[in-house]
Amino acid sequence: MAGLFIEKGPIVQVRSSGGASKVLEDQDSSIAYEGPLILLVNQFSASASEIVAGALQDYRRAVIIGSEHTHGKGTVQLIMNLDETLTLHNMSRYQPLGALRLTTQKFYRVSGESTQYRGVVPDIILPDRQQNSKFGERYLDFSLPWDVIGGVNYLSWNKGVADLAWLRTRSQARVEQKPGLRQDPPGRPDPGRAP
Amino acid sequence: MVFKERQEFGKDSGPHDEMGEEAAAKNARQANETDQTRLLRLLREDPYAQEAKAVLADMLAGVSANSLAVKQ
Repeated sequence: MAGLFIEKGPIVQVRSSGGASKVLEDQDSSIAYEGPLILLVNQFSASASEIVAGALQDYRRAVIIGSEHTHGKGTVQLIMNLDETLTLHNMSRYQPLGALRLTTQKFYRVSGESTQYRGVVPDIILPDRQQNSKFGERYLDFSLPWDVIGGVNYLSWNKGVADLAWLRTRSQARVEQKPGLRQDPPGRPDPGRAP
Repeated sequence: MVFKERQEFGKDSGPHDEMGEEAAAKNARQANETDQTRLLRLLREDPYAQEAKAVLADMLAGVSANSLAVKQ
């Protein structure tokens, strides 16, 4: 999906537990849309959507807007059907044995940063109505840590790059005027908002 | 008995009934939505989508300003 908005180039890197890494690329130079682009995310944006958000942010192709961070799932799982893999003598009598879900790889942005644990931090952060839900990898027990590997070469978007500082200032001014987006300090509910 | 009291409370409370009808009508409208009409409604009503549209408008204005600056 990221390839719809950029010319060809690396999108994501995957690294296995053994340390070998591989770069997955968009090899199609055609673009479906080359105008200004915004991507809305929140803490429920996980995994593949974080790859898209991370790639479009690294390329400066899109402005990412949303809650303080995305989910932070930067790992790849393999589901192993135990009926097929445990072919020991007389094992069939215990079937169905179920499946084992193994984490085998982590993925990394083209910049080399993992999305694991931290997620993608939007360019413009909006107050989050679900900020108390504590949803994300960082709130899970035993989640894998954030880390970084070497980045890969890529060409940033050069057709109309947004001035992020200016956009942030303008957005912040609007948000302060919008009750639907405003964040209230704990214990001081907005009287204009339904309980 | 509790049910009866609640029923009577509901009957006498006009504004609550109106709110209930309004919510029911809204639910019925949303139940008939297609993906496309839902998306259009969210773009119209959701404050996050509204803010995203406002940022997009700023981006378009910024790009135009940059283009003019380059031409000049």
